[in-house]
Amino acid sequence: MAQELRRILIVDDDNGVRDSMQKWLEMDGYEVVGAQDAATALGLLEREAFDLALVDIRMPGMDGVELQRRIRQVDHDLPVVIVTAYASIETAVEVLKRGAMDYLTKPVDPDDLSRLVRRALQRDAGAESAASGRPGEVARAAGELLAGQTREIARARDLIAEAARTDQPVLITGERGTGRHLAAAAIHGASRRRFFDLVPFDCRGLDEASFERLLLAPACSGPGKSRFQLADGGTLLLEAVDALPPGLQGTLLQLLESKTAHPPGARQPLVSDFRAIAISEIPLRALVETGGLSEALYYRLAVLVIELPPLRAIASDVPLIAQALLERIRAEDTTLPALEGFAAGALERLASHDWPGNVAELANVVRRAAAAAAPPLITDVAIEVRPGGE
Amino acid sequence: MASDLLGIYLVPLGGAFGARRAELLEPLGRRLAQTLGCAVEVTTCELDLALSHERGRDQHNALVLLEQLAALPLDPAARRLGLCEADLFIPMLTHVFGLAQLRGPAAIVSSHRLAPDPGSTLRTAGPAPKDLVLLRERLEKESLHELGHTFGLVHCTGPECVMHSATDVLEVDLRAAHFCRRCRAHLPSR
Repeated sequence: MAQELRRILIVDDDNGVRDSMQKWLEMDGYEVVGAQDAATALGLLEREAFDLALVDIRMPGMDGVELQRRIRQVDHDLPVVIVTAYASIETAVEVLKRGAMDYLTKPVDPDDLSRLVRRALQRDAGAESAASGRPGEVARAAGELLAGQTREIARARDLIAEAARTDQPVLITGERGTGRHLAAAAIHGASRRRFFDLVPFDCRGLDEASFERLLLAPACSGPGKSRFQLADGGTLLLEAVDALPPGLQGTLLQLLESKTAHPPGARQPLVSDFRAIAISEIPLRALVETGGLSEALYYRLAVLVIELPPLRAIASDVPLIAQALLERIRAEDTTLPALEGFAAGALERLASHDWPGNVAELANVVRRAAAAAAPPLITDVAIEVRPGGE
Repeated sequence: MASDLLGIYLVPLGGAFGARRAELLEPLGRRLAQTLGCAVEVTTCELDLALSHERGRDQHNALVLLEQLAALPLDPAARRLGLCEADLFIPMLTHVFGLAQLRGPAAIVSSHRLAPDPGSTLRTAGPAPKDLVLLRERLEKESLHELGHTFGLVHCTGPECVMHSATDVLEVDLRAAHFCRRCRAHLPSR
């Protein structure tokens, strides 16, 4: 009978929304308490324990984002889901950066709501998307990727938003460290598939046996499903697709087209409704021309193509991205000094480097500087860049 | 209706099902009576659907309809199950197949998203016989599900139990038209 009794707090000034959510979730077997404003919610949280809070972003007085911040002070581990009337990818990234577990856009599909609530209440962290690479956490970090103002980053940002709105396959290309995984997680995290898993599958070093074992066979640990099955409803992230051996490209193409697999020994075919996002270090079109990738697979993957620029090509964005990184690093580690930003000399130092390791290298440099610098600003003394990168 | 605790009124709303009404509701009533072991009666009470209509969404608010159903001057001991063709919603959700008052007297089910040809009007263009059979099965499962809520049942984890949550018609089809043993044990005795 139903799930074990869990308590959900709904904070919304709209009686209709609050009451309808309460009635709906009670039928799922949850105990639901409503609060019409942030002050009432905080009062309840001081006296009672909850397993999940659903918080409307727009309320008179204290809004949902501020309430979420206060909730983290009262009960740091309480999952908070922000409810918005309209969510852009920027809104999504913003609320995730501030610590929300996820967000919902009103009106929400009932299936998505049930999925999200179940996921939020899963106590077994191991069971929660063992293969998913913590999509919420990763999507949070995508904020830095989107912080730039250059035409290249604006273009990437638009394409990520477009990809999140559609259900088409996506190909993301870029050098190592440019944030390809973050872009994939941002797309998944803002798409309607976000309540299901983002399942990575590394295409490097595979032969026929390992391809079947790693993609189609149930995992030894976890819920006993294969990656192919875990991706059902969600996103299959094909990492390093440029490294997939030619002999397996036809097999992958068939899986992408039919969404059906016939694992050896299985009595019935497996069906999985997933969206494919592929990641490549090199432009796949060039690989097709040299015969390293079948044209059919290329056209199947490259429906929406996002090219992430190397950091050296968007040098004017380095200060903005560095500032965004600093803010996230400080938010994650409250023991760090209260640094506000970078002094002019530090920014000059950052601008003079060519960043072969891209955003990943910049993040490393900012993290070390944040630990070493004295408030209020990071000076050039704390910036340690190494010729040739990390 | 006799003062039977498990009495159920079927209340077609807004001229639901037109000429197909008898074909759908009579067998539905028989099946509900059989499964729940109670008297089932179709009433002629009508509700004003305009009160629940929200123009911006072109849908009907199921909460408003439940209040109207609960206020009908019928045997207070009986459940009242509204049946309609209108597309239903509640303020937070895009749509619902049906809704009920948990441990309350009223429930409602819509055929709008259950019909094999969603959104088609059953009154002017009758569905093919096989579609009608499928729709009848889905209406029966959704009716049992919502009535189960009025008896205090919440969603069941058993995938075949009629109280299993279904937000997709395929999930409705996967459920059986009966309660699992655990849920049945919580229904009022016949």
